[in-house]
Amino acid sequence: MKRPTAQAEIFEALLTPHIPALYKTAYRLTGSGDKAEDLVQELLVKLYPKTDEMQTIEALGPWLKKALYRLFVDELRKIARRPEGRLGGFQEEIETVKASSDNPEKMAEIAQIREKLQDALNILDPQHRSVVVMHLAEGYTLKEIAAIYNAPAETIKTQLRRAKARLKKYLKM
Amino acid sequence: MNCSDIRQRINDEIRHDKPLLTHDEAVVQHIRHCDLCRSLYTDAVLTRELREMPVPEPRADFAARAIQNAVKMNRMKRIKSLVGISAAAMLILAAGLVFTRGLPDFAGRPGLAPNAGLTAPGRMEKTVRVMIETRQSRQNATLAIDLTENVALKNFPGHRQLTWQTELTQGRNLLELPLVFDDDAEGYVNIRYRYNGNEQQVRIPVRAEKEHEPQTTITS
Ligand SMILES: [Zn+2]
Repeated sequence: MKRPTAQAEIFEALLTPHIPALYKTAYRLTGSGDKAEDLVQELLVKLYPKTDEMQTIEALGPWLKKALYRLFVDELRKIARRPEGRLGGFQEEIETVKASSDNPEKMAEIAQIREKLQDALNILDPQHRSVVVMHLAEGYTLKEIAAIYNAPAETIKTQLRRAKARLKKYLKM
Repeated sequence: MNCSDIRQRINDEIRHDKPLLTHDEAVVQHIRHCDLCRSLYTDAVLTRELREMPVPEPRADFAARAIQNAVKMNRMKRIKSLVGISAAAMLILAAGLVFTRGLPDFAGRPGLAPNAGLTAPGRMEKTVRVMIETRQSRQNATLAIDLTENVALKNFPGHRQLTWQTELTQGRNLLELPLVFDDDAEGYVNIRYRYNGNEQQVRIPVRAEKEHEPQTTITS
């Protein structure tokens, strides 16, 4: 066991360079600055006891990213177990339908898509949003995502398909 | 143009970061009628836009603060594991994102075993810490404390109940309650947090069973 102060210093040196990237991913996952900060904070709290282990990891960036995803997934599962978590899902569904039924004929301009992209992500339920972020924005394969979620790749594929369909509808693509 | 020509164009556009969807009439006409190409096209646009989507910066001191908090929370957890505090002292507050943790302080000296102390005669002092985490700053939050008979707040002898208004900053707020115990007392501190009509409570069991040095304070 290291001196507490030494451990804190090592932890700081190891983690500080990765915080901007972790925050960026957390923001995409959660859709808000506050939630992103909370998620990264929670991750750091969980990682501190692993300071020794992290010193031996060669590619710490990807390792941290996976840890962040896993934490997000765990949080999702906690929310899903609460009854109000379900209610949120239904509300999102209604909003999606409303938002996409304005003018289905007209195809959106790229600037409009850009402008509405974050809103579009936010109306997805968090599980679908995370699959979209992992696969489309960050380039994880479906197999890798399935491993992180401990779910069949087929399930992830279905979620991705539905999420993309919703995004496109919302964005009028 | 056939599907393969269209897909070639789509790939070119994506690769060269050209404006998408509306400028190329041939593509637009084709994807209007071909579902598969349309799907590939919109997939490509979506992927590119998601990858390039700007993300606002965190607050300036976020990284340093987050690191510091992580160290602090772990030191507090360590104290908690040494003390073996009841799970009742952990409480999820509103919306599941705000939480309170209560931790009697045992100075957190490494190697201090849970039952290593002796019961000391006379008055004992101990600090209970409660972390209140809020997603936004809270003006006029109300905190109320109820104490059992044999426990008192150090600066308020004889008071069993205290209520006051306070302002909580966004993030973690550490509330420290220096307690004085009668002899080898055992009791609890009940803390109520009220904001905007919502009330949350946490009851923290406290004991004066261990002798220890003056408090090592973990401040925020
Ligand atoms: Zn086609």
